[in-house]
Amino acid sequence: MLIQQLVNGLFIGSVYALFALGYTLIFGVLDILNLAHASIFMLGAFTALVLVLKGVPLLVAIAGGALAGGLLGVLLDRVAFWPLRRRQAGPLAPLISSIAVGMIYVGAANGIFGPDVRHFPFDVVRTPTITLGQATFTLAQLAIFLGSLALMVALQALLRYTRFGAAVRAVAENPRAAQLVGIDLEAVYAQTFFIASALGAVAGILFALNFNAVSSVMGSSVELKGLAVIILGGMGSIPGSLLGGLLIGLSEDLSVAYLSSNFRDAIVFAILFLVLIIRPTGLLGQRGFRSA
Amino acid sequence: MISLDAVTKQYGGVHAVKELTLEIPERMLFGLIGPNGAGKTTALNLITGLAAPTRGTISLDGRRLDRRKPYEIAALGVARTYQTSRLFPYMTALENVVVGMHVHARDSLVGQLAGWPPAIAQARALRTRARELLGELGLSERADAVARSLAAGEQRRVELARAIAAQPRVLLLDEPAAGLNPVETERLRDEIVRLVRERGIGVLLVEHDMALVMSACERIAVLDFGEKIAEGSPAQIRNDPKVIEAYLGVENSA
Amino acid sequence: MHELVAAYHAHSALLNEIGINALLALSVWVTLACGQLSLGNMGFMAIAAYASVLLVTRGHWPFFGAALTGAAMAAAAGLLLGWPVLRLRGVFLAIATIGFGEIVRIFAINLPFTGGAEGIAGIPQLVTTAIIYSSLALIAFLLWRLTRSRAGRAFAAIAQDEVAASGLGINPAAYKLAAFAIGAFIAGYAGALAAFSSFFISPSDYSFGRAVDVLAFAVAGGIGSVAGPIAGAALLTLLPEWLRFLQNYRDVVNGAILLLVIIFLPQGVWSIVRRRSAR
Repeated sequence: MLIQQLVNGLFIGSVYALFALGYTLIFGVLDILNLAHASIFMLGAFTALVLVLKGVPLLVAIAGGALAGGLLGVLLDRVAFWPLRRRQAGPLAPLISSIAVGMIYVGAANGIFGPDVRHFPFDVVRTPTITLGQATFTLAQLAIFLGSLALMVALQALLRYTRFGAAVRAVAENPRAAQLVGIDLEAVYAQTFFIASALGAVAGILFALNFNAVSSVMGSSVELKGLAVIILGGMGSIPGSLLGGLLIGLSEDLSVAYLSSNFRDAIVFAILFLVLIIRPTGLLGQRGFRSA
Repeated sequence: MISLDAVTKQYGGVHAVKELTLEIPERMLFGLIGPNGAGKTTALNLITGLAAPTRGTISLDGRRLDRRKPYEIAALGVARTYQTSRLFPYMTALENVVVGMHVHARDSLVGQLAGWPPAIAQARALRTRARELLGELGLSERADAVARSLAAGEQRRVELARAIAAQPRVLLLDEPAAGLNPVETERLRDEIVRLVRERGIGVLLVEHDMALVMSACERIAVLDFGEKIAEGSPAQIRNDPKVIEAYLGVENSA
Repeated sequence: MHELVAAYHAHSALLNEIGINALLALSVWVTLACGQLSLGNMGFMAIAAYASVLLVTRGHWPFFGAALTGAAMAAAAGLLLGWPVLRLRGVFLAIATIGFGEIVRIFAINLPFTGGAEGIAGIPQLVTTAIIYSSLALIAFLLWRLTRSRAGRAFAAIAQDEVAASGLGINPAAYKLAAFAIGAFIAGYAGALAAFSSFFISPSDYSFGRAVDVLAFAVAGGIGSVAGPIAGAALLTLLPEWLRFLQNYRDVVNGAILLLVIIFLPQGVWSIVRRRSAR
């Protein structure tokens, strides 16, 4: 029982972590809390669903969803943040404009797909079951877990070892100085939004596959948990997102098992609250990917 | 009035200020000079509570200032200006000065909420006084301009007016002449001298501009690498070999 | 005749909603005026709503006694919450307050006396449109006087430069806490008004989404004055009604208008009215 809960927690936690990475990346680079992230999570899932229903193989559909999510992220930056950057607006305006774009994205999904919950075809999500000791899980779940981990490792490597990563870190540290050494700020911002949003979209697809449900409101079930993840792990830290996501996933499943499912979300927010008060930089925060 | 007794401030392994002992008497224009990075601004931050000393004590008339919060220190009568203007950017010059009167203002919230006449009269009196103060600094015409639209020199004078409005016993000025042209600097000097003479405020003037300090201050202390290397009258300082070395050393390499 | 009555009721419900939303927008505005972003006001609203409803239905208290007690409880909760979280800055404060709001909502679902997810039904209709608007007028007036007072100047100073403010003898922590408590009180009072102008309350009335909407009211209306949040609440409450014909696509236009306001009217919609009248 305990082991089964741990395994479940890890699976869902890895998806939370992947989703939260998008928040952390954009906050780290632009100091913006992007509240439209959850809507891209949702639209990524819809895109993959539409592609799968058209007969596209699942892996290609996931890539398609990621691409769509990335492009929606770049669009988001252009319409919601770029105009505010240009006039050096305060921190409040971007928060509201991201809310506005989130409303537009959710509204579009509502208009196109309606308010009902949609499902992937059964044969897409049905995969063999694996039993390891006392834990049982599906191959799909395992793939979700490993896929999330692989993406996070890839992102970390991208930031640490590539020219692009060096530019991102420089901009996160000090945009003006980065510009002086010849880094194209706008290009870095656009690429950051693309990557953060593509990851968010993949998280949405994996989340939808895990529960086999896609709906226009699915983002709201993760948007606050994503915040809890980055606070727990440390804002701006990629390993922190992973650790935070896994811990939140575990605490959820364990509190369902041992306390009461009613208070499941309260535990998550109580953790968030305590971390903020006791250690606002999170478990792995402070340095974050600025020094990745 | 203000005494620093063997005050040390360490950041990591670096001594920003080391064993600094200073005594700034009442009604005196006291200069604090030194090359860049000598610890002058750190000294001001220590006095105003923006930083806590690692060792040593700071007191005002025998009352300890270190370990007090910045707002408590301000309420005890220590006002300051900043190296780069810290006016409230979206308020007018006049409103900035009125905020400066916070400690002494008596237009209480309850009085305002109830529309109680004395509270309203007091609010009006604050604005009148603020306007007068701006007038004294030659800013009558700019009183209703939004702070961030003011020219740099005007911002400095508004900041000075705001600090004076707090009716401090001691005023700390952090490089008030930076970025001013010679005419403006001259004028600023006269204003500072008048402050001390007419209002009886003690002034600690932190400056880069040697000419200004030499001509305005009665007594001067020199910092280098966080340590006081000399203290005395302008004439003594001018002829102090250590000071000459510290300054020439820096200026030759600059 | 029945249609007329129905139309009146529909309109008065909308009118009530605007008034309550305006109060909520003001509750966020107070903390913003002191430079603090709070997204936990739904928690305060819920505390006061449940408390006042229970006091009236079970304790047989009179409405105003119950509403003010509920609001005072919300303010007390604001002080308790503000104490630890006001050290946090910007986004971190916002996230902490979100956490608080969610915790309150989850407790509302699970406590034995709050009626669970279904909430409490059969609340007497003790609040009229007149009560809502006279409350709004009084609170708006008091807040306007506040901006003119020593405390109001201190709020603005803290919002614009906290270091400079404390250098002038302003105690930032105390004023922030006061702003937080005032905001909580207003949100709580609005919560009581809302509860007694509809037949039932449930935890979903106090969701994060609603907190975000309320913030949008204040910012879109303009946080430079007391009138801004009221104008914003009126506009953004009416907008979805006008856009009803768009059905499922409604939020697209709703969001687009909010976006346009934020980008092209940095001082909020109220600034247009102001500019007109200044001419």
